[in-house]
Amino acid sequence: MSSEIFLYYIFGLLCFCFVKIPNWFGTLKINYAKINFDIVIKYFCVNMDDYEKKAIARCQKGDGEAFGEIYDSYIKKIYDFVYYKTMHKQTAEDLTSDIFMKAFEKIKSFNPQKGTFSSWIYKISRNTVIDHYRTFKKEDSIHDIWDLSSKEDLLCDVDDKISVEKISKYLSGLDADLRDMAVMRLWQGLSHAEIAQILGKTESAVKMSYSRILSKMKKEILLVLLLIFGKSPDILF
Amino acid sequence: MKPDIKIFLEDLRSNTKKSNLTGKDARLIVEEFLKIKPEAELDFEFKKNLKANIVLCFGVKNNSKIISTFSIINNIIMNKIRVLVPISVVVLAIASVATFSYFKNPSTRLAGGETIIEVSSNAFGSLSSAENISGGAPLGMGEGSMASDSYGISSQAPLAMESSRSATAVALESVSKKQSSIAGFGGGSAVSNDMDKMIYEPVFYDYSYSGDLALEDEYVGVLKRVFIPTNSSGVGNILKQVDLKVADLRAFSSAQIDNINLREDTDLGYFININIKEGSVSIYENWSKWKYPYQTCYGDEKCVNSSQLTINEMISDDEILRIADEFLKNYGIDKSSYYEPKIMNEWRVWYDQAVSSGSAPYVPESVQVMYPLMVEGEPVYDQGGSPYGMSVNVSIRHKKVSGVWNLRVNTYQKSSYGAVKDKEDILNAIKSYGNYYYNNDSSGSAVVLELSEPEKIMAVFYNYNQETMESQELLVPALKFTVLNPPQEGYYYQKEIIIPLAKELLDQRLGPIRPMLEKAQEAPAQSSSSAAESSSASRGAYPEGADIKIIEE
Repeated sequence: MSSEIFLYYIFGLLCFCFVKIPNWFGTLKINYAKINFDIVIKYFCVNMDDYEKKAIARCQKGDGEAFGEIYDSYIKKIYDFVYYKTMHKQTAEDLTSDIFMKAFEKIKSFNPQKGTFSSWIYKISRNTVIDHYRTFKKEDSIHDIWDLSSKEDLLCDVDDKISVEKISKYLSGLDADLRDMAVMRLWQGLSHAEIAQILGKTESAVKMSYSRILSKMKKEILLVLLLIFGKSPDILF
Repeated sequence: MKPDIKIFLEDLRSNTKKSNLTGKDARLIVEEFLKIKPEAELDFEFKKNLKANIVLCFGVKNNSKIISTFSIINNIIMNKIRVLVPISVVVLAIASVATFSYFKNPSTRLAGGETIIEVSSNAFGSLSSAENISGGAPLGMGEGSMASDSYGISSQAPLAMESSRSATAVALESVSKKQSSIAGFGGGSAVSNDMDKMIYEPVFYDYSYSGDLALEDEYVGVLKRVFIPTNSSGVGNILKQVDLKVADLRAFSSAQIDNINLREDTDLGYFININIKEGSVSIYENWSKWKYPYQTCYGDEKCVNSSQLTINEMISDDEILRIADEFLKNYGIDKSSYYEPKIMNEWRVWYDQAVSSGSAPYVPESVQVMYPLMVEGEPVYDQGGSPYGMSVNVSIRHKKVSGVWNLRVNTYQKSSYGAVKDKEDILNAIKSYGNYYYNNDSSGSAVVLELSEPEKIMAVFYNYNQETMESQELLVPALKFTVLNPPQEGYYYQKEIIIPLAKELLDQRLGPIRPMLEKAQEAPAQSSSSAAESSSASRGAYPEGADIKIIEE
């Protein structure tokens, strides 16, 4: 098992060499290398996916070590996601604990035919964060809850309070799905396919939503920048 | 332009046909949004601990022996106990939410059965510090009767762990309290010249075993008690919503709940303490609702004396066991991890001695029933040879259980450690057992004590972790030898000799030891200084262990 991981690392190193080394020789070789690189990456991803599936299967049979491996792959992503939605270290740690405990309890019900593990655990994460805010607020619609909209609920420990205010301002015009989409796509680099699975939408719908997110953020962002620089952002470029 | 921005913008161009965004705007927005991305730093300790807990949960979940004892708490709270928390119903509700939240996760249920999860060899680090902190350091002091004030009358013990300390430790405590100044334990210099008068002449026990010993195992399985912590800070966040108008509780950002206390506000009611951090529950008297002579007589000594229990009021052992068993049954407390209960009747020795010497005999208000813990089919003992487990106190006056201690989650990790292979090591440990800290050359008398065939048991040790300043409870395979010819004079309490089978532990016991008297004689030189100086000096002069603990008491 560990030798398999080692091989993946070797693949990664080779990929790096394919891209970087040809860079020293010119454009043609870069293009040639890029093609090879894509192939290798594709092969690598397929194998990683396969490796993850095997680990999940072992995990479903009660292998705690296998869950440990899955945990290692996802802990940072999930913690980051929760942190971006709570901006509070302790709360993010508590919720991350809950998420992985839930995942561990329900791992046997996970069906790889219905989606990836990534989308499954992200769904758990979204719901756990929503449940967390539900304990504080009693809105009729959960979509009205914006994690950062209410200052009284904000146990924020981000040092840069201006950034938090900006985040709150920029995202407040978006509905819950679009907010998560912005966080997952722009801050976490998730693919459209992954986001689509997590949100239960089609990939094309997610792609279309992407421009809507930016359009909706445009007004707030440009306004803030105007206040900061005292002139139209267009002049900045 | 950063590569990720490039990807996002390409993404945007290829997927949006009717966007009203210019390239500049889009770039600006993406750049600005990436710039304000908060730094989410994942704490390494958090990551490590959570992983350990999850892997542990897997072991727990896949172990068929797990018995949910959520019913324990459920019964305690629901079964005829009206919990009237004085602050308000709100606090009770929060406590209930916290309790429910605590127990709803299977990883945090109090388990009646034991759960053992195997981990790698030597996983708990060095065992060499384990013996130092243990309560029952072996000592061969002869005048066991000095322990009479403390031992066998367990009614007010704050914790089972405390109440089940070995007689040795308690006896040493009594001696030490009387002799603290002599030994330089912080009592000052005034009495130091009277050392010879006040030190009891020691009796040295020469333990002897002549039978066979089968030491075939290469390794022994050492168990460490573990508890899967719950999301107590999540509960803490809920509690922080309670506004008592005295402080802004929400300002305590990382506050977690360690304990929940419930109070039963009825006659002969109980306090119930749920220790979330340790995974244990204690039940004890609600003092204000249990009437004893010392309360009703308001300091009138005659009244107190006349209200003392007499031997005729003592209930039978069968009745004591029935009361204890009935309580456990009524409150759904699982006994499957325990051996048959044993009544701790040492009080009868002191009673008989008092009667024969013509002094006023004392009948205890409560008697302790010990349910010895059973782990991996072996009984568990403390290092003094007393059974270790759940203790139930039965009030003789009220004919009712007055407390339950050491009711807890029995989940352990198991790790292999090198075993004792040499019979000589065991025999040497036996020989030095009674004279662990004492000087053989002193003028005391020696008594030869024969030992029986040993019984394989698990012995409790506590391993202190310097980093976390917490002690780990370890169960170590050990041999229990019984003294066949205990001395008849006085009260000889060391009826069992416990020898650990983990080599590291035994080697430490066999290591060079400075005789206690020798060290005690060094101490008076320092005793002319202040009490505090004397105390700190003695800390430096003595090995860490039971004697140090006594100083602090």
